[in-house]
Order: sequence, then C-alpha cells, then structure tokens
Amino acid sequence: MTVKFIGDSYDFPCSNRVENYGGDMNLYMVWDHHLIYCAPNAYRVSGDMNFRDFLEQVFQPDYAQHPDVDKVDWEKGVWQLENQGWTPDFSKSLKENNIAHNSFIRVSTPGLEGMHGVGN
Amino acid sequence: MAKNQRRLNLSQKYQLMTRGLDWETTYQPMDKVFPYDKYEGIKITDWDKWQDPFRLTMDAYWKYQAEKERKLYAILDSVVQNNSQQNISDARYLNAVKIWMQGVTPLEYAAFRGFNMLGRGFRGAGARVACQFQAIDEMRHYQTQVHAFAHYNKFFNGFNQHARIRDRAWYLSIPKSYFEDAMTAGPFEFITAISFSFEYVLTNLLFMPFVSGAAHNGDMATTTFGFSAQSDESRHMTLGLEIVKFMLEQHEDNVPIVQEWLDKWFWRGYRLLGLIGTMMDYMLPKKVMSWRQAWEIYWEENGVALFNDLARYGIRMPKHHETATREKYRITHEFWSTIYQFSHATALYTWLPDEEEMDWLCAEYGELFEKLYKPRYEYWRELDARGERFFQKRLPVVCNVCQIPIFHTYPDDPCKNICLVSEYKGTKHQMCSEGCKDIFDREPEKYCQAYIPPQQIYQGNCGGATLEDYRKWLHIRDEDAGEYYGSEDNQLWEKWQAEAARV
Repeated sequence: MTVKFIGDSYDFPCSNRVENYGGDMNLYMVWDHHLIYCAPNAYRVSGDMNFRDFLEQVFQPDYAQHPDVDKVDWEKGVWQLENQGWTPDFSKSLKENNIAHNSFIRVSTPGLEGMHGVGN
Repeated sequence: MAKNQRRLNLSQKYQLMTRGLDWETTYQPMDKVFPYDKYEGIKITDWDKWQDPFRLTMDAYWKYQAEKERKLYAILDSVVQNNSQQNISDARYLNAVKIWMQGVTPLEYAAFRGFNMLGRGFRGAGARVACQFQAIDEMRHYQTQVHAFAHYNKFFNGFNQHARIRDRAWYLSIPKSYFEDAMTAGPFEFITAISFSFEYVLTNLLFMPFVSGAAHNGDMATTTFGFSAQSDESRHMTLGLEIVKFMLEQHEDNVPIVQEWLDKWFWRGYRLLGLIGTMMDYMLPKKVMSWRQAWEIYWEENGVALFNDLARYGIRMPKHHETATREKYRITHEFWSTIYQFSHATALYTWLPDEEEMDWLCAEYGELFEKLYKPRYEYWRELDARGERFFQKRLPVVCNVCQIPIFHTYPDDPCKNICLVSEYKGTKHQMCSEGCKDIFDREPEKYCQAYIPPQQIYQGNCGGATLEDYRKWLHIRDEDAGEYYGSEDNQLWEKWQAEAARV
C-alpha cells in the first residue's frame, strides 16, 4: 500500500535520517528483563566508538539503580541486532560490528532476569 | 411548501438549509470547488441520501447552546465563590485534570480545526452543515474546559502552559499526533477517525472515566462541563455512526477502504486511551472502575456488539483487537511505570500507590499484578525511602506511529520489551506493536516524516541534549514536575487539611 495524495508526487525525506546527526548516529538498546527501566534506551553516539566502551561507559551506568548492574558480565550475554541473533566483537567499533543508524540492540543475561527473576 | 404557511417548521428549515440553499456550481466544475472529497477513493453516488438524525437548524442550535452556557457559567461562578478547590478528594486527583487539560483539551481545539475543514470539504451540504455545527461545539468545549480549569491554576502547578507544552512536550505528542494524523488525511478518513473510532467506538472509555471520576472525586467544575458537553457528544457519536453507514451504503467499493481505516483508527485510539486508563487506575484517589473492567464493558461487550451490527455491510472486527484485549491486564501498569520514571520531564506529579490502592490493584488485576508490578513498586518505594527516588535519565525509544515510549511487551510475554522495525528509504523506524507497524507499513511515506521527540532532542532541535535543558525548553518549571509527595501541591493541600481540622 502507498499513501493516496493530491498532486503530482508525494515525496518527503525521513525526519530521522542519519544526515541530521552531524556525523553521529542514533542507536537503541535494551537489557531484557530489567523492566524497572521501562523501555529500550536511545543514544546519540559516534559509529567509531568502541563497543566495549559504549557498553561499560554509556549503557551500563544507565542501569545504575538496578541491583543486577554490579553482577553483569556482558561477555556472557545473548545478543540480538534488529531482533536477529548476532555475536558482537567487544574490541571493535560499533560500525565494525554492523551497528548502523537507528539499529536496535537487545541483550539478555541468563541468570540475571531481574529482581525475583520475574523481569523487573 | 404550502402557499399560505407563514412560519416554517423545523424540518422545513432543515430541508432548506441542507438542500434548498445548496447548488451545483457552473462557473467552475464541482470537482474544482470540492477538490478533497474524491481522492481517498470513497464513492458517493447520491449525497441527498445523507440523513442527519438530529436535523438541527441554526436557531435551534443557538437556543440550546445558550441555555447550556448560562447554566454552566452559573455553576462555575459558584465553584469560585465557594472555594470548591478544597472539596476535592485529594490534591493527587488534580494530576488527572492536568493530563486532561494538557492532553485532551487541545484535542477539542484540534477537532474544531478539523471539522471546519470538513465543513468546507464535503460536497454534500447536509454533511457540511453537521460538520460546521460540530466545529462550533468543539471550540465551545475547548473554551469551557479552559475556563473550568482556570480556577485550579490559581492554586496548583502544571496548568499554566498548556498551549505551549502541547506543541513541545514528549508525552503530549501522543494525543497531538493522533489528531494531526487524522487532519493530514482526507475528509472521509478524518471523520472515520474522529467521529466514529474516537467519539463513537471509544468515547465511553474516554469521557466516562474522566467525568465520573471528577464527580466521584468532588470536582464540581469538571463534572459540570462534562454534563454540558454530553448532549453535544451524543450528537457527535450519531454523526460518526451515520457517516460510516452512509459510506458503506453508497458503494460496495467503499467497504475495503473503510475497513482499513477502522483497523487503523481502532488501534490508534486504543493506544491513546492507554493514557486515560492509567489515569483511572492510578490518578483517581477515589476509583470509579478499573481499566480492565471498563475495557470489558465498553469494548468487549458494547464495541464488539457494534461491529457485529456492521457485519451486514461486510465489515469485520478491527485487526489486533485480540491483542488489545490481551493487554488489558498490563497496559496501565506499564504506562504508569513509564510516567512515574519520567515525571521529572512532565508538568505532572507521580507517586506510588499506597497500601489500600495496591490491594485494589491486586484485586482488579490478579496474578500478573502481584507477580510483576507490585514488587516493582515495592522496590521503588525502598529506593524512595533511601532518598533515591527512581527517575530514568536516558531518553527512550518512541513508537514511530503512536509516539508512545516503547514500554510495551510481547503479547505472550509481559516480561520482555517489544520493539519492531520497518525500513523505509534506507532509514529504520521503530514501532511498539504489530498494530502500529501495520499502520506504518501501509503509508511509510507519511509516517517517515513523524516528529519524534527523543530523535528531535538528539538532533539538537529542542534546547539541548540533557533532560534539564529539554525541560527548560518545554517551559516546565522544577516545581511543576516530579514526585507528588513533598511537592508544592502536596504542601498546599496538607496546609488546607490542617486548617480545616482546626475549625
């Protein structure tokens, strides 16, 4: 299906295109089963950032008030990129890990499924 | 018309206004005079078949409305003179009024704009006249609500910037985008979206909790405008049903088009009402009914019966209604958890349910509430007691269609966030549900342009990248936002209670 319109064409740019990020990109990531943080987080980051640095310096501190945060070992995580199975290389950059503008990363950590193991 | 009759009766007046005064243009072709009412593909073979069950005329309309205004403003005067702000159940209640004032009152104004466009857009004069009346109603509702709430603005925070924050605040883009989506569609889709899906199918879930909630919680001002608007609302509902039946009866080619709109606007309406359900379950100190119960009565019984009636036109139940019903045990808790942790960026206060409220929620929502949401609130209470009130500092991903932060979970797993992706023009877009993804995929050219607040913040268009900068840009003051307990509203209320106890 496409939109119905009056006139010759209906063609507008996406409002969240990468060009609007001044060389950076937009990125989403969630730590599954830690729902006291209600939704996947949004980040503006450089694609050249190292993946481990992103995880440890940017992502992990966002879960600071969760008791699981001190126990987590990201290397043991089960990873998805765009909801598909994926194995990140922690030593490489976001870009080198195929993470692109508006990518969605999901990680679950077996054994750490939130408080009481119910996903909180 | 009889020759000797000097006065016209009501039905003759209506007939003249909606048929006799209309004409086929000859200097310009009708398609140029009415350029918007064909491109959606809706085929109307005979506009004269349009029947407005109310057959309202101008003089009757002015008379009814003037009478209602007189009564309404007499009561609003007495609300002011009797300090009725002190008679509400609790100052927490006012956050329900704030959410209405900030989120829903501007929709009345948006409806005024939309119905003005329709009052010009349809080539059938009967439909045009009905839409013009409704446009005036909507403006009146906007004004009477602002007047009713103005009294609260003298005492409480969060009421003073409704027009500005409506255009800027992330949580108000949810209702705002609903109407703007409708207004940027054609006139037939607009009226299906607003008059049918919103005002007919879902209105009981919108007005009932709010107006009954107001009555239950001692809010005379709101209750009065609710009653004043009620007769207009019943006219609007009838218009909604009428237009849908009219489209379905005029041509069989209209059926699949209308069905797609019903699918889309059922889902958009349902998503929007999550906010109202949350108000019912969490913001009314004296409860009316739970969202779950309201959903069962007003959708599972009444809504389903309505769609059964439409089956004879070839209309089926709206897509994803099963998911909406499945979510009735979780949606308001997920929503409240979200507002709770982001209320430092809203002109609202939030709080955790007290013991009695927690018992009520357990009774209404059963096992899932006890297992998942109750321990969550208990943990937040612990943090609160340690002086670490829980606020989320990072921006969330927001659905590209309904514009709600994607706090939603998989239909078969309430413990796991859902986040669906569609790619268009090389850009990925995130959605909260199959319902919203269907809407995106049907018209990606439209939704790829959506103004999504966190994206705009990161692009540098909203005053800065931190929540503090953003809040400043919203014109929300520190004292408007955050935790209820300890807030200025809470302190004022406690002071009044103490004074009343001394008397």
